[in-house]
Amino acid sequence: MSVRADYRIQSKTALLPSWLPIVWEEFITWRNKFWMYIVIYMLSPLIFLLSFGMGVGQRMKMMMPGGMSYLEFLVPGVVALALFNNGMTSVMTRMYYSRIHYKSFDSYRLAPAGNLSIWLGYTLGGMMRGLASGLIVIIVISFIVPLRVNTAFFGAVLLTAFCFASFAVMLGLFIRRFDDQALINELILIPVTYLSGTLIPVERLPELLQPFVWCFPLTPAAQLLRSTLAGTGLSLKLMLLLVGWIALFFIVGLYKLNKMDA
Amino acid sequence: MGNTSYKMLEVRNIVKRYGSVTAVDGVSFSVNSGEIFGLLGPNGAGKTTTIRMLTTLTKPTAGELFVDGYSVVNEQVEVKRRIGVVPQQNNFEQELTGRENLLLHALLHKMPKKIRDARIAELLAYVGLEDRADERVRNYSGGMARRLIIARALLHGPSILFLDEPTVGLDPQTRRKIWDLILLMNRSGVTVLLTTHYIEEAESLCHRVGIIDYGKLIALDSPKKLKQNIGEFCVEFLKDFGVERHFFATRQEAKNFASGQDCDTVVRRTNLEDVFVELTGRVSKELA
Repeated sequence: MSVRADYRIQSKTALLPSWLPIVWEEFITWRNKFWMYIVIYMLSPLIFLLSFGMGVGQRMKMMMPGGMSYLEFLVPGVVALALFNNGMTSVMTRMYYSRIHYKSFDSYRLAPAGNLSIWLGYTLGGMMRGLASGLIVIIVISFIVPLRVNTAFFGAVLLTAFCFASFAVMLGLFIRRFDDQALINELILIPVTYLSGTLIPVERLPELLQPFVWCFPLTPAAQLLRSTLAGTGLSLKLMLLLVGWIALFFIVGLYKLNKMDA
Repeated sequence: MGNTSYKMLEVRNIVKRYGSVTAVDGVSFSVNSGEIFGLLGPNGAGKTTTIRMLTTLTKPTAGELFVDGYSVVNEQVEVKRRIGVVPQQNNFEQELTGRENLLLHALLHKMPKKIRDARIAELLAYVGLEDRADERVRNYSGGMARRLIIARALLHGPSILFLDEPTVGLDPQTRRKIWDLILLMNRSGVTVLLTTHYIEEAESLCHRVGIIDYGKLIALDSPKKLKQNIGEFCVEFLKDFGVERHFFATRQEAKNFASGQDCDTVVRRTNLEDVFVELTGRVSKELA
């Protein structure tokens, strides 16, 4: 057998984007543990719905802006949380293990692809996970609460999932130890989860806190999902906020990739 | 190694600093096409840092590196197309099967569909893993994973293969199978650069060896010439403060010297560890 071969020939394969194999790998891993992920994706949204929506939520009508029911308020927040938590956790965990533990991240860096492709591959892989969890939650919720899903809502879901995945890739590139991941959970994920207008309206938070929660990407995401689900369409202001976050996460993530091991 | 060989790899005065620590300090060497070149040295000598710089994973602080005429720093994509890398750690995607890991590599290198499946099957047979190809790699033994990673490194048809400690942690039988694979690859025309801290590995496989210590290349030649330089025969005996070694050009000279000693002596052929000890003035525990 000849171990030497020249495959640098023109073919349709050469036109395939370099990020695609990274997404493919993510899909295979996801497919191999399909049922486990289904359970994981459904668990925390159901807990939020049962404890907040069906439980304490029944007594919270007076707190809701615009006279909506708490369940109406909660549902888009739970979808945003599903996109956020599953997208973030899966990408950060994957990046931590592939960079630090299994070193498989190096095999992508050794491929003839640029850092932009690596960034995009991981981001789209994370987006895929976020979307999968979001869709499952939407399906489950639709059995409990009637949802008026529309094209604008799905557009908002796509933008939100991409934003959170790019956030996770950026954070994943900074994690060096298992402790870092715990620190990110405590300092970023938990405050963002509870203070971003997902479970409690921003207007009902302490006044001092209200401007600060707009520094979390989950706040405009939850608002955007809520407004699209209510049928008021895509808010340009909220979309620009999310695009701004994506730009920031992209710049910092790519900078970190370029500086890796320099 | 043919007479028409050219420089497949050229390293010019490379330096790598991490803060105040200099991991690689002005290393220069070249590797001819068709050659098996070994970097020998203890752990922490700078071998892995050197190989990471050669394979684009780490940027050098100073110096120039060329693979097949392409600059490793400025023409990374061209370099990546020409190199195959067997890292120290088996860096697979653990949830994928052996075949899927190879397919992932083929996709990353944009290998045409009509030939990649045949190529994967060919290489799986080459490394003797065709029966286990559809198992997840997390269930592979160390030797199986090592063979698969060699198959992966060869998949896209590289001109030069970098192997970082290819047999570390393997049992002697598996180690020899890996050596056979390396020799077979080299016979097919692949240039090989390997790092090792196993003396026997360097002596068995390498046409030339560079000895690296504290980030500096302290010797570079064929194993035979390195040994000739200090004397091909060694007289070894135990004294009050440890083992003393003396080197001689011929066995007769060594025997004559040994017969003049008033203690038990051993006359043996010089090995690369002796070269290392002579050059560095210290015994490396890693090389023992």
